[in-house]
Amino acid sequence: MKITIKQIFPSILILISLFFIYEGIVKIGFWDGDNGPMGGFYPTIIAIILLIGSVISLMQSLKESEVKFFRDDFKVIFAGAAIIACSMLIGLIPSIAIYLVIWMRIIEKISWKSTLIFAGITTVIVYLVFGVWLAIQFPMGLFENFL
Amino acid sequence: MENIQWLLQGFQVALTFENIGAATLGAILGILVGAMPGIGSLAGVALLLPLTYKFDPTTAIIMLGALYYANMFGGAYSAILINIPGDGPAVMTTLDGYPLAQKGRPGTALLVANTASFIGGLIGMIILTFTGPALARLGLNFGPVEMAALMILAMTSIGWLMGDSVIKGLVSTALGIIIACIGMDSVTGIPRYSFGNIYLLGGIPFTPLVIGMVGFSKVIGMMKDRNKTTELNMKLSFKESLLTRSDFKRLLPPAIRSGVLGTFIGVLPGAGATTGAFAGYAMQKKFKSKEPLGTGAIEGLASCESGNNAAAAGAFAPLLALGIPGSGTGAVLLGGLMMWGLTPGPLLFTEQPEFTWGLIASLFLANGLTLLVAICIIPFLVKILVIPTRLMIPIITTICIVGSYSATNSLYGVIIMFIAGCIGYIMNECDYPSAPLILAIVLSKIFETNLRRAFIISGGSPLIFFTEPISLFFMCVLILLIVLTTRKKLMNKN
Amino acid sequence: MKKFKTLMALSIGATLLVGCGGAEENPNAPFLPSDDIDWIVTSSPGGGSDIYTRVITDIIKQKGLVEENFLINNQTDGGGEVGRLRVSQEKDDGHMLLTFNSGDLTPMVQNTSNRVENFKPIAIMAVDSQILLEGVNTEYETFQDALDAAANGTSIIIGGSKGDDIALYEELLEVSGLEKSQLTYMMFDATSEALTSLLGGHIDYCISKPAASMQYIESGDAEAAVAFKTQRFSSGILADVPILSEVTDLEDIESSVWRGIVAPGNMPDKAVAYWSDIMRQVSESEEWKTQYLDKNVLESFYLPADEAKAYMTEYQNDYLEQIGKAE
Repeated sequence: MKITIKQIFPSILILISLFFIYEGIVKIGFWDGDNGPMGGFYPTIIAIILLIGSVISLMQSLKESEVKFFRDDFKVIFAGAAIIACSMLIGLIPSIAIYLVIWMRIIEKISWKSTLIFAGITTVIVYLVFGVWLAIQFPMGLFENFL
Repeated sequence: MENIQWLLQGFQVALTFENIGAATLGAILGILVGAMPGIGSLAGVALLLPLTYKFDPTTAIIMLGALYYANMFGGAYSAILINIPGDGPAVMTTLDGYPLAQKGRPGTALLVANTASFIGGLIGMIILTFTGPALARLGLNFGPVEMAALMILAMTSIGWLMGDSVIKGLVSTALGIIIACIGMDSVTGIPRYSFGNIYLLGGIPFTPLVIGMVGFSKVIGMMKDRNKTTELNMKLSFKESLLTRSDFKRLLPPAIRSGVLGTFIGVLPGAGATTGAFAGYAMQKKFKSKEPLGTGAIEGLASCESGNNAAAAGAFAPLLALGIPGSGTGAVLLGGLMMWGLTPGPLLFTEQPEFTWGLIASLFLANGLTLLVAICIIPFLVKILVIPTRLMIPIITTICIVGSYSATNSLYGVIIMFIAGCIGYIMNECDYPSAPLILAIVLSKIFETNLRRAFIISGGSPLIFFTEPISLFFMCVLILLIVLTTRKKLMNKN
Repeated sequence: MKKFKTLMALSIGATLLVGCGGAEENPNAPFLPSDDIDWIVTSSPGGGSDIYTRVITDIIKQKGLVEENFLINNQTDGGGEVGRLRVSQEKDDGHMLLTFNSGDLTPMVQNTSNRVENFKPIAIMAVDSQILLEGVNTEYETFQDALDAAANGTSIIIGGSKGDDIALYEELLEVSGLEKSQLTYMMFDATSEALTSLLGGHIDYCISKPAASMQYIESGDAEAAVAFKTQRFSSGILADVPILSEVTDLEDIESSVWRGIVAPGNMPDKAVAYWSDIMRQVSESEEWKTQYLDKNVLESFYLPADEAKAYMTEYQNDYLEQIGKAE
């Protein structure tokens, strides 16, 4: 039998719930004689429910069909992570512009001309609507310390 | 009948050429901002507040009312068209709105949502007109004990409301509650589960989480359909977008029911529009729908949109009558009113009736105008769906990132959006519903705070939930619901 | 400074920097802002801190005290702690300010290791007072009766918001000698929420600020039981409100809720002096009195940079001692 995400996900939830129960009872406190519930009361109860639910799902998952991931899906995840990392270096808006160009050109294989027009228009719209009209200040990355 | 006279007088104040112009402008801007994910009605009103400074107080307040209202209308657009709920209430909208649009009826979906919003809002305002301050006083009876009891009722409904597997619904709900517990303990102000991380002190920001969990996770999954040439069997022309008589017949009863319920929810302290939308939808589950809820049923879409707007209207009762903002947006609105030297509070209705009723009249005006504006722009909006999937992926990714950034003013929001997107994607692939998780976050915070406060009042005794009359009533309903549901399940098995 | 700018602006910025560098050669040249000023507010738009900040910038603009524009940035991550930490660490040449109130200081020192010493205080602008409101359903004649009842085993519940109100409650426990289980505090996210509970009769008392309470006192929905001051309010309807020593046999406790402004820890002293002087002009203006103080029942309390620093540090150390975190 192969272990897939269908088993891994509830297993992780089991670990999380155990952590919340431990933290809730030991560190934060569950019940105070005079005042009733403390900070750990509610999370602990819910974590117990999560624990039971996750164990049952884990057992059920053994009977379910396997999940087949589509490899291309990870490209979106990778792109998202790359934009965030890039934003810290060169700022959010330039990162988005670069992402749009790379994505359209390399993944979707669209001609340079259409790519640049599309990326340009999208970036300008984002900048004008959010940056100018709604006055949201986007991060500049490393540049901001030079300004 | 005195109230109606006041209202008519209010209309005299509101109905000038200039005011209608300001309200229309407010409606258009409000819809646009509301449609942008991450901005939502709270930030939308806050951002557009300065625009109103240029007008005289009455015009400015009318414009503000229109802005607020139109924001609620616009929130449904991104939820229906691209499955990205911009804020809490819109999570319910995605459940039936997005499937309906995918069935080839995006125009109908948008119109159903906005018509239901209009009806819900109208019902809320009518109730507000006739009961006024009395309604707000009624809401005051809901203290910690009563709110906690009501929330137990609501939270137990989440699990079986959505998805096919009860266990998976439960896991999703519990995970949502666990996430909501991270940050500051709302009763003692002591950090918990924050791992000493300064960002986690304030908890997981809600809007980026919603955008990621529902929107970004969908984009990841979209790669599968990228190269399929989907049959564009969409009815995108203006005529096809209009509601048919049978659509309208399906829309009306749920919209009215949710409107009444939503108004009442809106009056309760701290309950908010998300709870209103949720309660409307949960109630519809108990009534007959032509198609099952969750598959693009007009009834489902109408019930939550109406509940949402009715709650927004209901929230005006405590705001005007007692100066209590029922929600974050209400607080900003309150700030706006105070800019013009008005202090909403118990004296406002008696001391400044012209203003109060002018504002209520302008809400009626704004509600109608927004619907008109919506009808005019919906035919253009649905054209968004003509954009091929391969272009939609980068566009929606960009919207998710910019939206989540705008919601928190920091990259932290983007990171949360990204992580939530990945978790949401895994959950989708493993058939865990994500809507219960999001709703649980909203409801859980209200629930825990009130539960703990109730225990403070009773000195640690849970008996208080059965000795207070309102709470006892909810407990009985809860037990009844559990018994009935279990019996139905057992009967089905036999 | 977090602004999105094109490369064009970058080069302008660089030129300005060179300009500043030139000015530094002359040590007598006073500081003048050369770029937009970032003003961080660590609470949501529309709240008390936000309005306070916007009124100050409005007055500065109305009176033309500063040429450059103010960009108000609401950073609410981590309950505001992230914004405060960021400002404390920012490299700065005089173009960043942070709204900083007593209600920001108390959670900051309680939950993080960030301290006032990491900032350059610019000024304190005003002080607010706190009063104790009593619900119409509350059965006790005076606050002394309630204290007696608490001592005899009836749980008395006082509501209030975070920060300042908790500090006052702790002080109340100290002077009355009561336990937390006898005089219980119920924390709310905002004063308006606590007032809602009071109006509904779910709590006995509520700590509030005058501006937020006036309406309810006038309409008879709540009564003002105690003013936490050493002397009664000098005028208005609050003049009738007794102070703690008048209604109980406890000594008076005075709330010290202040609203101030700080800057990043490495702001040049010249810039600190400049901003401190701008704030003095604001606090002396007629607009400040009418548009802010009178409207919100605050008292003017201007302290320049060095005095503000001493005041904030003392406040911090007192609080640390009170919660048992003194270093």
